[in-house]
Amino acid sequence: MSEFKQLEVGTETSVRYGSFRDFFQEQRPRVTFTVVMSGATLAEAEDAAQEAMREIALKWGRIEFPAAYARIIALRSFWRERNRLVREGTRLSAAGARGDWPAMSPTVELDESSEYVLNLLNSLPREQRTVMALTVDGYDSAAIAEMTGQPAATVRSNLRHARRNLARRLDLNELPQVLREEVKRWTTQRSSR
Amino acid sequence: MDDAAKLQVVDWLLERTRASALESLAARINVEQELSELYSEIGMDPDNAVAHDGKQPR
Repeated sequence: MSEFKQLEVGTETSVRYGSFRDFFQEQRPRVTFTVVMSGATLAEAEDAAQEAMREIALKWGRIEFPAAYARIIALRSFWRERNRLVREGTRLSAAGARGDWPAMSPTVELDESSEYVLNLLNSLPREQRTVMALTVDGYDSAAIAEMTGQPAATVRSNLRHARRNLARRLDLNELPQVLREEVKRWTTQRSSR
Repeated sequence: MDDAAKLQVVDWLLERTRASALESLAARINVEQELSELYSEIGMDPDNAVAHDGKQPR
């Protein structure tokens, strides 16, 4: 995978995982969540993550940076499927685009606070959401530039705008009660240091 | 709250959300079952699949 040769993300090489099973167990939830953060529903993200895992299983041992590669495949799969839905005129309601997170499976219980944050993130343009999702996932601007094929300066600009937009749209008074209290405790702890 | 503080709150909220969601997603995945389905889909026999380092998948 020559296009990923410059990626140096921690110790992220296939050697680290030993077996595909170890990789799957660790990365499947993470890839799913990265796709969710970039704007997918849970169902869309799980399909995209599974497609990525299928491809990596077939190429296991021949991919230098499987976790980064998995995210690229999964994100491309999601965008392709979402574009197809848009082309076909499928209406994605606000609820369909995000709000079905807990409803997709009774075994997934995202708390109200996480729902709020994901909805906030979903208000960003796609490029900014993607950069934010990969940043929260632990990738730096240089790695994201490699992964998305964008210039590093564009990635940094998108990240800067994403954080500013989120901060601008964050209304502490609208936060769920539990989260508001957590934020108060957190800011108090920080200011007392 | 000033802009710098709000940016810090945003970063904290995102990290908190990630940790919470990953916990839910990890608990939801039945690794053995999903791996079995995946191997079946791609026609790979996990008992004969050899990891890149020569170890047999568990």
